[in-house]
Amino acid sequence: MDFLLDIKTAMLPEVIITFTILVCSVLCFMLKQEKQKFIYFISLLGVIISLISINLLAANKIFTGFYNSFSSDFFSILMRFLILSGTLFVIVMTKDYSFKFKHRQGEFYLLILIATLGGLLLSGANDLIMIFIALETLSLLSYALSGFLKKDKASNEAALKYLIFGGASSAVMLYGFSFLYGITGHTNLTEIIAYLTNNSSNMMFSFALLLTIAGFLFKVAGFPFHSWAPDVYEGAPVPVAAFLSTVSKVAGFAILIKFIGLAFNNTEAIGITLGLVALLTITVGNFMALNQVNIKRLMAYSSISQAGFVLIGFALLSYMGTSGAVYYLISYLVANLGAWLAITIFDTQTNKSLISDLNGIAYRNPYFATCFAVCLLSLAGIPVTVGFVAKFYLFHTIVQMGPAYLWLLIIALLNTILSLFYYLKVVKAMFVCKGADNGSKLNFNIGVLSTSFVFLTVLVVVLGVFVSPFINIARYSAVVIDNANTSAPVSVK
Amino acid sequence: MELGLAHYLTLAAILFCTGILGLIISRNIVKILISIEILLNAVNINFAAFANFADLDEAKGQIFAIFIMAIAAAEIALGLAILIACYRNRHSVDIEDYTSLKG
Repeated sequence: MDFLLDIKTAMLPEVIITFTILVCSVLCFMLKQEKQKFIYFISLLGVIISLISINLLAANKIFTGFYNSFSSDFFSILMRFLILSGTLFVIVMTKDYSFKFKHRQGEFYLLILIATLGGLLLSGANDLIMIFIALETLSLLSYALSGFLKKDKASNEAALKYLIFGGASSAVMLYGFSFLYGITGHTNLTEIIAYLTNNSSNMMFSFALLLTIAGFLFKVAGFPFHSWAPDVYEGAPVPVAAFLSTVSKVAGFAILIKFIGLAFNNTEAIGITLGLVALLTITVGNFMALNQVNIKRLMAYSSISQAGFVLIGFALLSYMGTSGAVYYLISYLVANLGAWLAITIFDTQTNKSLISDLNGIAYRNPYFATCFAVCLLSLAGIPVTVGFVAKFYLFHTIVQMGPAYLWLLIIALLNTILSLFYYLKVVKAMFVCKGADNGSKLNFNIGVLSTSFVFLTVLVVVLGVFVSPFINIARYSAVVIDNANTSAPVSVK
Repeated sequence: MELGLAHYLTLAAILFCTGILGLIISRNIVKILISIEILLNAVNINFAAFANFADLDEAKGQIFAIFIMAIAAAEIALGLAILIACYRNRHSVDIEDYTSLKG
């Protein structure tokens, strides 16, 4: 009975997703090829029910279960909400795209749901073993998904590169885990934090923490470990690229924040290292994005630099910084999903992905071009969009931290101006350049794809105008993280 | 000479460095996958050693090592499957032939 209560208050979304996975896997074998589209509806239904069930979770208290290896607090619930809504839109994206998967349509949804389950578990994981398993569930399924177009050379190569980079970085992360375990004698994060408050930290611990954070930086495509992202985003099927740049990234940040929490009362060195990593991530992402001609590669570099902004919030090692990062993550998710939806619609109907292919599309499809432009401008941080508010709030938190962090602020501001250049390049292609083929017109009639695209665009603007509720949510979740990391209630078994 | 924790950690560190070296210098993709296995095995030695010397009441390290073995097996199975799909398209296992995505 206790066990059931655990599930109802902490893990309801995971359970629902698991049931959906089971149903889908049975249907994959049962349904004939032409009826596999049915699995699309089942998986969509499962994700929606799971999203609704998040409301039933106990949001205002910290819940731990399963021998303390899973903890559900407000922050983890927020992250799970973001992950599930990201998955919802990714599944919507495959509606017309899935003809490319031929007879393996059903398996695609199966894989994407299992990867989502990994992400959900990761955002609540509270034990090194749990973190490892959840992270690998997410990673392994991502490798398989990015190579899903088996006959496509680019897709193959993307999967291979992703697997090699991913395998190496998860080994580095595990090496860090082994030292964390060796120093503290525990695998549970709560007990590791309790150990840290009682013992002074040493060099070895910082080393282990840095190795571990390196593994997570790979997941969010942070600077020294970003080189897989452009290749994988270009080669993988478009919905998978969208999945990697939104869902997988949110899950990566959700776990990264817990580990940076370990360093909160620890060392200055980790803060400065993270600050440098964040700045390098932004700068490298921006400079590489400047002369891209492929829209998918451009979005890959853009998402690298956006991840850098979130990392700045983490690097401040404070409650304010964390709230800025969480708010930035929400804004990034909304705008980025919108941009990827646009790319999916364009790619599905024209099979092209160069920026020059977008030339003059505003004359043929004004609504499509306007929505896409709003999402891109939000990523660049133009006012009246959520991206502007997020950047403003983040810079505000840096200023509040005092003059010691001025260097972070200056370089981040310069980079914001730099990033305008390549976002506006796409907007210019759509609105100013004359298109070569005036005949081809996108089909942007009322449907699930166009409706959700317009919905996301409206959300970008609405969140940019009505700011305070979401900032309050971000602040509250940061408070929860802060409490979990400093007060350190020890509860063994 | 008594075998202590330091000996096991040194062995693991040497194995880890070998794995990293293998990742960097080998051109054959199968060798690269084997290097990843070596990295994970180095981690396993670390966990088993720490469980034996630092965590006597519970065997969390050994349990972790078993989990790592299981996941490593899954990872390598997936890696070989992807490699076979690649090989069917390009007829090569040389990493230098997989350079069509760049920029």
